[in-house]
Amino acid sequence: MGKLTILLADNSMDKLYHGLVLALDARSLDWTVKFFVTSQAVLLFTKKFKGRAKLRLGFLARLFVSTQMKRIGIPDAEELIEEAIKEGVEFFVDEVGLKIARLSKEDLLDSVKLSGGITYLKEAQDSDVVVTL
Amino acid sequence: MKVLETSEVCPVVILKVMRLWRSLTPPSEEEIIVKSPWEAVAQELEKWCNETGNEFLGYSRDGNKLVIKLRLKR
Repeated sequence: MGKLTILLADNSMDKLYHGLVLALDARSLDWTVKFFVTSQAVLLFTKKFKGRAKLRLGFLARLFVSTQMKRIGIPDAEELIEEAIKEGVEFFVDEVGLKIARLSKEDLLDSVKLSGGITYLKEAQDSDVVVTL
Repeated sequence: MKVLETSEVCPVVILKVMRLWRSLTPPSEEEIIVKSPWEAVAQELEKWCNETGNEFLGYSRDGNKLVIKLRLKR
């Protein structure tokens, strides 16, 4: 059985989405998945934002991409986060990033844990694949 | 034979197939058909089968959909 560790340090939709796809694919292979979230990306794992990431495009392009995603049946990031939690992906949010955003553990989605750099490094050291987004 | 007809993207399709596989009571086998408009799904399912001990039985085309056959084994 393999192990994947992901580090997400960006709150863009593209990076969040790719991280979630890799996490779900790895779980379907029965790999252990540790998903670390830091910097601005911590907001995406709060009850308030729930995966609502930014599409870094102009208004019309953003509207077009959002419409296309709905049209071809691509699930939104919130749905993928729920599936990932259900499938046993472990999410860890950097406590410093959370404090900077003036948020606390209670603001996080259920099942999301707090962590720091050492936890990430130890998990990464012990992984077969490490992806930084 | 179960038929999973979906237009969802690869990871979601694989997730659904995996849940079907997990729901089998061992020892058992079941053939399923996955119908998807996404080209990469066949390739992804073939690799998933190789990694998890299931059998990829091939695919054909039906209009704009791929018809993929798998044998799930528990």
